Amino acid sequence: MMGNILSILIFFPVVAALVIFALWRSGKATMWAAFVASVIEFILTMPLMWNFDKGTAAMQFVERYDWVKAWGISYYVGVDGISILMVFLTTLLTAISILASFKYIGKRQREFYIAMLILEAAIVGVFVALDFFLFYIFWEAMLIPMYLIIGVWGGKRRVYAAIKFFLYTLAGSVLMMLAIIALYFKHGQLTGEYTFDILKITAASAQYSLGFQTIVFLAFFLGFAIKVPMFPFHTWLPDAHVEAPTAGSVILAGVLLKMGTYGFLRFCLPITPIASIKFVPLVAILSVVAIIYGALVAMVQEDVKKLVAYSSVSHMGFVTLGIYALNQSGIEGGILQMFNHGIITGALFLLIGLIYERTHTRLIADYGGIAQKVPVYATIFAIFTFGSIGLPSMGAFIGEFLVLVGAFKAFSDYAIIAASGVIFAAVYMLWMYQRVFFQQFNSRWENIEDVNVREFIYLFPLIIIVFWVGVYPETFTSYMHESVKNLIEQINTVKIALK
Amino acid sequence: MAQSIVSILPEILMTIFGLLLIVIDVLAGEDRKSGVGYFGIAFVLLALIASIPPFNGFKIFGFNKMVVWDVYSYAFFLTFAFAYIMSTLGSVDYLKDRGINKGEYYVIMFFSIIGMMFMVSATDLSVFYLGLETMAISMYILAGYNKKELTSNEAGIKYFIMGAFSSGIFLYGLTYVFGYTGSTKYHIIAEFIRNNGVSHFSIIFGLILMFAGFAFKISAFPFHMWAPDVYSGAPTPVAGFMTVAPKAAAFGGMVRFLMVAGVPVVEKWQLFFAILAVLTMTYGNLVAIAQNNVKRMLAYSAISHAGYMLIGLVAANDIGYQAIALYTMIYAFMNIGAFTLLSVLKNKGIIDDERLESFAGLAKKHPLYSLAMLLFMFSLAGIPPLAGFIGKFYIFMAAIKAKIYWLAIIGVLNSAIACYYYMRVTVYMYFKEAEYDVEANLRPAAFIATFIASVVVLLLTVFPSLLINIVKSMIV
Repeated sequence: MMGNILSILIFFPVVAALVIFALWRSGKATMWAAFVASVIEFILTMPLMWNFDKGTAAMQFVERYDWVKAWGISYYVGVDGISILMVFLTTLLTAISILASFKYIGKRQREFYIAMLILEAAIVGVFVALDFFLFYIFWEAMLIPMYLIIGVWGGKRRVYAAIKFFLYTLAGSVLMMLAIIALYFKHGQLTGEYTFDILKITAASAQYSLGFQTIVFLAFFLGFAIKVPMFPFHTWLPDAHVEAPTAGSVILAGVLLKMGTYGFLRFCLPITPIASIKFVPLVAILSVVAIIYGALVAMVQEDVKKLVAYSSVSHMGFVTLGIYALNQSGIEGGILQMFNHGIITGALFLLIGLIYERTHTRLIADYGGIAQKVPVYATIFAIFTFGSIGLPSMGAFIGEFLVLVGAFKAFSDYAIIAASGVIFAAVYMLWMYQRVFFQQFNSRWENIEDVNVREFIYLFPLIIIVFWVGVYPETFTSYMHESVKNLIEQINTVKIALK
Repeated sequence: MAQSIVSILPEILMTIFGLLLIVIDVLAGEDRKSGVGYFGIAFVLLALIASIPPFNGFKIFGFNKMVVWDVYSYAFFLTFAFAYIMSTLGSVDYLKDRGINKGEYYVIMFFSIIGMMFMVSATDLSVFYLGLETMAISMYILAGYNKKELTSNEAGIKYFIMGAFSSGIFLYGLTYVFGYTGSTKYHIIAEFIRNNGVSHFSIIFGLILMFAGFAFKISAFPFHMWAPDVYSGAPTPVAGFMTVAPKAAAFGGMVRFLMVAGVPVVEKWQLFFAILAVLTMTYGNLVAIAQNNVKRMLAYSAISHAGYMLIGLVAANDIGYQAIALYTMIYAFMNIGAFTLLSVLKNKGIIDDERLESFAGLAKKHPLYSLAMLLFMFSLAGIPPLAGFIGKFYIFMAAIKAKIYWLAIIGVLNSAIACYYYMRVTVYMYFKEAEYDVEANLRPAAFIATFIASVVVLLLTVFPSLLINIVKSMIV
């Protein structure tokens, strides 16, 4: 079973979706079935985590079958320290967001849960694919269910948001397709072997000329930068986040954005190292701009969800900054921050969705003083507010700390500006918290209910993880040490060669 | 002589079957004419199985190198066969509903395939031209087949006039090429061009006229004017057939001509087709965006698809023509699938209303049909993992292998634009509330066609090798 664990992880949700499609029509049955399936999927990730050998940077649990032999395409999957945490995050957040959708999704439940499961399969596929063709298929396939999730079950401007999301991300990734094909032919010319094998294409990266690397880098960069999203490619994000249903927002912020930064780590750095080094200033500047700009825009939002959406732009800026510091602490911090952002922002979206179900408003001005009516909710919200700010003892602190350490080593000027982003984060989050939970009590919310058992169940694991990462990050960072070390070594050899 | 007969074995088979089909038509009762169509499908399948060539560079020339039977022509035969099977299944109910269910319809469509097969297996311009006309005359009749309806009449006449005109231009160009090189055989023309180049006026003029005639047939901009009206006026299943099969045949024949006769002067014609490709893609897409009628939208998008296929021609390498063959096969399923579905999704009260609005809320009432439509739309748009993506991927591979990056970039940007209008259909189906009741009475035959198309579109996702292995073993 361990030999096929990755295929099981990819195809189990698809099979579950088909079974649900075939067997049940009623909303209630499908939602429980989908939830059980997603929990099983999450449980299946556990043996993957336990059996993962942390002492090596090599790909593990590799499976490979010929797929389209004529083109050198194979079904080829595997995980290393960088992707395994993302798989874990995906299965965890999917299970949680399905549970969180029970009340929120009122119409066409069956289709919704099927879309969620297929989305999950595609995302897991993205993180484990080791064949470019396979990767690209998963990368794009994920758009269709997400498009439907936003467009069918979203808010008032859902159609606009869905189309914008789809076209934006699609336009970004079509050039990536050309870059992939170009790599295929380049590798074929250089080595005589025409293959889409990511590892082999990566291994030959030393032979790619600077000009070629630059073109490939830019094509990849555009696709990933839109997905992250980096400033100035971020405009789809607030729309998509605000209009998406809670589960959509959670997956979008928690997992989809990570596909972009994952792309930087898996493709840009190893395959186009020289171009990556050349473009460090550009990425660093864009990251810093994203950090500051995202924070400033978040500060003036009137809608809580939009505020969190813009804060994502800011937080993802830290991730890209860390990755492009190109040193151990920067990259590890970046990956850890990817994970933390998934947990914390995911939780914040869940909390916002939860209160929206009761009040049908997300405007900060509509609230006020509700802490006295919903103490448990206020407490949990406070935890994640502090988590988002990066308070020590919580996950984001470790991540941001590592990122800034790395950034100071690499480019101290940018790091200083970026560090001020942490302060801005405190400003907008605390200010929002104050206006929502304290101040004058708004009597409209006299009968508002506090968190119920189901809601507590899906929030609880996130609370645990946030503190876990904050107190003992080694549990999570230990997965990535070897892989990151390996990546840094590759880049350093290129750096030395450049000198 | 024996070899000559063998070299046109598939065509002979199809002709015999075609004649049999006429007999069947005569014998069949007035109300059982659909059976002719079903027999046609059986015959096509039989011919398909009987004419599988041995792979690995198999080539049999016949009639002093005027025709050839090889994997290349077989691959295109597959496209025609797919198109025939799908459109016939889609036609049965459509024709019944309109009271024009006659046997000739199926027979004519059947014979048009023979013309197309000759176009692709021709290695001589006169044979090519004969095939072209056989195909074209059948198509004129089919376009105007629904004679009770004005738009269909218009389509038939328009297609006929424009088509005859373009055939004339093609023939005129052909005579110049013949006059200059002294032969209509591809390999002799090739030799002549290799020795003398193409700087002489006669050959330039001749080739340009031929290309123009070809551009007419594939509805490339600016020779596309007839296409939207004809496609949208023709009976819907015919429109599906017309957007696929004749186009594939024209491509198949021209690619063979260019790859055999034109190779010595590749860069001369590459630019011509590159410009044509860019204009065609962009024009088709931009105008398709403005359409509110789904059938017209598909008609314009069919123009843009010809543009993508032209990229394969511009690439002028093995992957290029393989890509065209693969693309047309996949296109046959998704486009005819979409047209079939369109033809059976009808409005209550208003017949043949294909406005976008009538798709509103379809997903709620008919989840399966909507899902099929969603599949076709996203597949046409080239979104992975659906089959349409495989075709596009191969096309762009050809362009990049030929190092024509700019064209590949324009191509992918165009396919991103195309997503917008394909998505609009899904927007209406899934995201909008219905304005009024939409009735979908999908009868068995059309249902089977839609079902086959959807399954194939999905199946090729998982097993693209099925078709890729065929096109991989093609040699022009």
